[in-house]
Amino acid sequence: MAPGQREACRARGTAGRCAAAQAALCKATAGHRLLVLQLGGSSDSLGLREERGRRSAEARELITGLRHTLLEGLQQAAAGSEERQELEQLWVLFLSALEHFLQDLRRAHHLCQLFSGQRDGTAPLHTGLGGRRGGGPTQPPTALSLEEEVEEVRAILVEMESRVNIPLWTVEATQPEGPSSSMAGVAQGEAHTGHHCRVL
Amino acid sequence: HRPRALQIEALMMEMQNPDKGIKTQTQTVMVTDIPHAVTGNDILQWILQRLQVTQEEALHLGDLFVKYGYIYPLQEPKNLTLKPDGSLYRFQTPYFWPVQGWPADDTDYAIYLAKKNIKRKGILEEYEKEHYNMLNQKINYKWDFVIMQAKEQYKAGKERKKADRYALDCQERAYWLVNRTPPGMLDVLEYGVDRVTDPNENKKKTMEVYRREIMYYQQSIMKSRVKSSVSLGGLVKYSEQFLSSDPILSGCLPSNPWITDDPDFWDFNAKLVEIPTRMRVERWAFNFSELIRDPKGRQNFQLFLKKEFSGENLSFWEACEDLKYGDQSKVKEKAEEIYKLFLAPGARRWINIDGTTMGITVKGLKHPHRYVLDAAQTHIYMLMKKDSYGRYLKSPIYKEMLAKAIVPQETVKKSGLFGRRHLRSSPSPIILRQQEEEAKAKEAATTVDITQPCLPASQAPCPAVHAGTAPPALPHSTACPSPISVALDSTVGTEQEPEGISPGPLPSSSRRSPVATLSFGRFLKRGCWTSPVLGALSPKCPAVPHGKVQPLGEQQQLRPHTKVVSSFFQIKTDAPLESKTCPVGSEEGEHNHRRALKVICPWENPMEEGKAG
Repeated sequence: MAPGQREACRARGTAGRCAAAQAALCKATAGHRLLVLQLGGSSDSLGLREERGRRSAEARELITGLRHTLLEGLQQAAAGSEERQELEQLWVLFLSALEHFLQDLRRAHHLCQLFSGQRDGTAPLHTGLGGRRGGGPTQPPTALSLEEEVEEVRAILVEMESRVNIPLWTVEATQPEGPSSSMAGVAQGEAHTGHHCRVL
Repeated sequence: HRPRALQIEALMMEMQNPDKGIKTQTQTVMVTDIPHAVTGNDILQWILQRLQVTQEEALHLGDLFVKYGYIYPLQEPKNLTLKPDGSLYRFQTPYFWPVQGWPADDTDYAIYLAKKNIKRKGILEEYEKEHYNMLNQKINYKWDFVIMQAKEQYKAGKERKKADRYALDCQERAYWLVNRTPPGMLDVLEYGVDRVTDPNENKKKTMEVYRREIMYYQQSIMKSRVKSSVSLGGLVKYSEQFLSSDPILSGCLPSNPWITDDPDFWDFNAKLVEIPTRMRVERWAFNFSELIRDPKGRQNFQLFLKKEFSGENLSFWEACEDLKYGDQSKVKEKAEEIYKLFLAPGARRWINIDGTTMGITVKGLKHPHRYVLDAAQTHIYMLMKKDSYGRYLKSPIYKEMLAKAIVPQETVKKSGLFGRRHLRSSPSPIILRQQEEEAKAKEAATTVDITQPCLPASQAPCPAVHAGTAPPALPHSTACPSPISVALDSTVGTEQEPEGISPGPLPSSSRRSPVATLSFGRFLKRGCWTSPVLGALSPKCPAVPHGKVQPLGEQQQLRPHTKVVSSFFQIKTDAPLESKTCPVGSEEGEHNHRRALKVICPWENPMEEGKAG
């Protein structure tokens, strides 16, 4: 294979891997949010909190991996190339997910402070939800406290925003808009300019 | 900053205490049982009992809980009121409590709407569709994320058992009903403008804090209140009265310059035009503030006041305005000057204010600031308004002005290609300002200076000379005549140049010519060289060509480079004359004028002589 082609192959792989990781991250954050939703409610429990911690750890792992890969990919990608555009789209996706996750972490922190000192099994609030058994990832919970989690993610977000100079508005959505259009099938996004973006 | 945080959380938690809280029931939805429902009546009773308040208050409070989203109705989700009957409610999960620092996020809302749409296509209501489309535009770059996240959240939710899913959906829907109110529903979270200070900040309760709080509340109590019917009536009256003057609603004569390219309208309504328009003069009769805010009105009013020997009132008022809106660095000396000229016992243009106000003013002048003369100014304003204004409107001076006032003919000028009139630029602001200075000097020249050392002490603190011909079209600025005034005839500025500055006999028609000559001499000895009056007398000042100019008189001299302050205190403050064309006065100017006769200010010690003279 010609060197350019090899690079192209690798690059496509990068984007592909990132996309997959991104999807996993979305799943993790969605699950995490569902758990945070229940904090302080009738289904709140030590088990729930542990599970939240596990989900959060999973998400954070994905985040670190994605960050590394995306950064690398963006550095290597030629400006203006298609795969650069893909990476930029993924970048924006990543940033949005990061923000969203951080927001939920902050809420979780706030709620845990409000509803601290939980006795196992008794929940103060009657929200209508029952407790849940098991589920979720089975890794051992990380030792990070919520504050530390928040801080870690926040730092990553700040770093990302400052290191990569991609104006958010240059990215166009690939998803069709409007509630009336079909949600099935994703149209490829139009080409957009990203010439002035660079990784610092 | 957002307004003060609601502190209901503690109460919420108490309400749900298994022992002392509200007893719960089970809600049956189709075949599912969802626990933890409470009736409206139970909520009400609990509040009554726990807080020991009246029925009405309890109902109101409970209603607020629902409106703010701490409790949500199960049977009529959109009806966010507390019904004191068997209607069912449930407590909202703390995640969805209204939190001070976190307003509901656009991205979250977009995800919610997308999720709703995924669950069942087309279920979005009209207003939701609008929001959705708007958000799509607003955060378009995030849209991939929004859709992806919506899908994932939907999937995550499906893993839960049915009852939980139902409860979760209800919760989320309730949250968005509060935070993105449908049209027609009251938006309780609307709080108006952000506050400047943070009301939730935990301030240490020091003496200072309490002192400020007390002051704040005292002032709040003192604030005047007006019934809305009264204020609305005032608005209506204002609108009716000013309707004909409004250029947009009633058109303007001769024509709207923006449409016809004819600037006559602006020319006719210039600040100190020689003959004002009829409409303008009529407005002076609407109320006193209309008169006093119009420079031409003030000018005409001043003529009247001089006849009544109360010209110093308006002059004082104008001096106060100059103090308020002038240079910060000159505030102290201006305030002192005003005091010496108008307020001090034996002042040259003494105004009559009551003892209390005088006391306040003198006290304040120890630490002068812009608004130190507010009390006195208000007193004089009210005096003029209540006393002189009425008579002014009936006076021949006003009536004459009204009769003279013009009504421009309506013109319909077409600015076609051919015959397009030559557009000239309006007069330069520099030139306009110089005209103002000139006029001010002229004005100064008509005012009697009674503090001449040679004048007998018995001379009453009298008012200006009323020279028969009032200068009709002086481009007066808002400020007052110079304190260093001379009993010169008003025509001094328009005089043909005497040879140099010798105190020759003035062709004065003033009633006080001997005084005039003497004063003029004194005036010269004091070396008020910086006065533009003198500049005007000097033969060396050429007239500067300029655009359209009010007819000020024949010998209108303009000095383009004079650094004269357009203020009440022009003589003293900008001593060095930089005029290249009038070298006569420039050198000896400064040191002489300080030896003017001083009025002692009670707060100064006598050692300060020679300073603020």
